[in-house]
Amino acid sequence: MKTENTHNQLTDWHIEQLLKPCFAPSADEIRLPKVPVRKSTRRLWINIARIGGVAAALIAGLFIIITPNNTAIAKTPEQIVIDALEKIEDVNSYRVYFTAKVKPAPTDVNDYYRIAKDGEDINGTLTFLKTEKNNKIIRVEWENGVTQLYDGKNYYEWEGTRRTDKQHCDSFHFLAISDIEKIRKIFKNAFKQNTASATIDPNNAVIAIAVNSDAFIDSPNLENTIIKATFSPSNGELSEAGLYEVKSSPWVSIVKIHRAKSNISISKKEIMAAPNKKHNKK
Amino acid sequence: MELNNKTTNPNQTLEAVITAELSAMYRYACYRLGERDAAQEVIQELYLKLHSKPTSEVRNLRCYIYRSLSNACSQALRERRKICFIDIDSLSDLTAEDLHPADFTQEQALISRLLAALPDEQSEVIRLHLHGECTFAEIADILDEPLPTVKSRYRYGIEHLRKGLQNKI
Repeated sequence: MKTENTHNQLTDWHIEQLLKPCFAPSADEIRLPKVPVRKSTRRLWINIARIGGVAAALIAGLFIIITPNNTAIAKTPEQIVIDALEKIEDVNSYRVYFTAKVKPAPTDVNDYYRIAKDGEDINGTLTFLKTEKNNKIIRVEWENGVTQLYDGKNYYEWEGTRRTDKQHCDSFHFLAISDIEKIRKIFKNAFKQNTASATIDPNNAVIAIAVNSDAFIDSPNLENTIIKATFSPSNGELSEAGLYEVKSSPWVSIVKIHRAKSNISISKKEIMAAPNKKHNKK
Repeated sequence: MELNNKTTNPNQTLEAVITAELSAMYRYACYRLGERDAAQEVIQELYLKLHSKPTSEVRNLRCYIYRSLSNACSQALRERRKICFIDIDSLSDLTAEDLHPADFTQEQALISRLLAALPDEQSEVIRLHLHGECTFAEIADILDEPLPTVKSRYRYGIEHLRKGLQNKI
């Protein structure tokens, strides 16, 4: 028996030797991609671009659908919002002008800004372009000369004309804006769960409100936030839009959209171009 | 038999664990997928995916990484329609030259052929143990199976191959 067991053990050993790699390729062959370093697994801070982007998508869509003499007005307000989101897919480019309350990011975080309801107002422009290959490019230009760009794969940043490429991910993550289907589902589900509403106010303006959920914003520092958009009854133009914290009265505007232009004329080269303005540090 | 007794320090970051495991991960993926390029692609995509998810609540990062890697390889094989099974009896066709590979390509072909003769649950335990250098306890965690089951699968898999190659060694 011992001989048989020994024979079996030796043979099992032989099998293991056959299965153990001797010519395994070296891990030096692998080039791991560059990823933003997560400083914390808790997403403590608002992604200002995502907020701006989500609101921009909503606003751009609603801006398109709400036009004078549009028979869509005959639909329910909820349907108007849903239809507007459906239309967003047809938009290849847009630009949104916004104001956001921000504070400088902490010194141990390699990033520029953090949303804060007690922050200072700073103006910005968000430009979106969907290329022929369905690649989504987003560019944010702050009034102080900081420019942030995401081309679907890489992040680029400048202070004025100087490249900085800060390593971050929490404050520059445009995935929500690039995932229109997700936004559409969010609102559809929000309407079903009664966490969104669309109404026509006494002045016949269409007002759409969605209660913030983790799908939009993930921050313990901002509770009870909503996205609200209002359109003028006379010409269907956007009169007000933004992200508000409704915990206190009056509501605090966190991000406010002033204007949105859809289907703007901009090329991939233009949206990806390095800025040529100086950085005006505040 | 335990090849090593690696445990994950809860204070280690995801980056540190991946760096420490990269060789074993690449080895596992290369022999699982059969191609260096495919293995590199899977690991690169997995690297990005792991960094996009919160891991502070993960109890054992190393097991979490290998579980993810195993799933990613399975997915890649499904997409490439490269899952194949062979009969254990076909191992009798292996030549002496087959059993003494001279490079990665020959070795990977041999190992793939041997493991294709086993049920998935046995071959995966063998891969994780011999290629991924995972302990049986870690494999039990990765596959969410009882430890005795994992050990049995390993033993039966080796025994199955031993019987199939009885006259070759």
